[in-house]
Amino acid sequence: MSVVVRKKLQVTHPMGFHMRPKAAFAEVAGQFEAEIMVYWEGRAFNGKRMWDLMLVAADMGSEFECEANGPDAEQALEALATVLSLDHDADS
Amino acid sequence: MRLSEFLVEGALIHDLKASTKEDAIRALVGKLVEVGRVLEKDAEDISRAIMKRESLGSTAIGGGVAIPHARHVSVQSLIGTVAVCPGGMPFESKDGKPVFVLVLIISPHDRPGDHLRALENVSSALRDTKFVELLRNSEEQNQLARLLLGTESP
Repeated sequence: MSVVVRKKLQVTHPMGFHMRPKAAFAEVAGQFEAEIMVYWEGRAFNGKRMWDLMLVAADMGSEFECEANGPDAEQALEALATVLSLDHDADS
Repeated sequence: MRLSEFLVEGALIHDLKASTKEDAIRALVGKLVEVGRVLEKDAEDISRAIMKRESLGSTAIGGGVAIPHARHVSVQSLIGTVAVCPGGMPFESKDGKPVFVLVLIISPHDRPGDHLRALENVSSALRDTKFVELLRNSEEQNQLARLLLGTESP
């Protein structure tokens, strides 16, 4: 059964959506069967691909929309929201 | 930030010969010292900061590209340089493949937005595997500079 879930995620880290959270995001997204898309500034990015996420220069306080499409969509979005809430090392 | 706004032209290396991550990072930082964009007294600390960041997870993001970086108090604005290692070098890449192009970035502490946009623009250029191949085949520094600094859209 395919489920589509969409959620706004906020970037809370002072350094913004920098490289470590991007890598963690792609890695966690890759653990789910659902397709993961990120929508930011009118553009669409594959949430499982680091090269795509590198183009999402979202500052602290900004939001992007994340869409999961697949049987584990709910769990995927929950896990990805957690990734963004973690305090990834500020130096990275 | 466009590449031409932060890449230091005189510090580009078209023929890096390094067998370890640390050697490569030191060579790039050394080049920035050579052209006067980093003070010699700060070079060691900057190299260490970049290595510390690498220890948290490799910045080699696949496709033969790595973006070693760190924030450092000694720079007032974001600067960067590029080294091409034509033969490839190990960089603990996620895909297990060697790295051919290294983009080193040093950012000030208080400009996270510049850092994010520099990463965006570097990635926008280097996700094109043909462009990476062109960089890899640069036979001289001028050629590398033309490719990196002269091919951006306004």
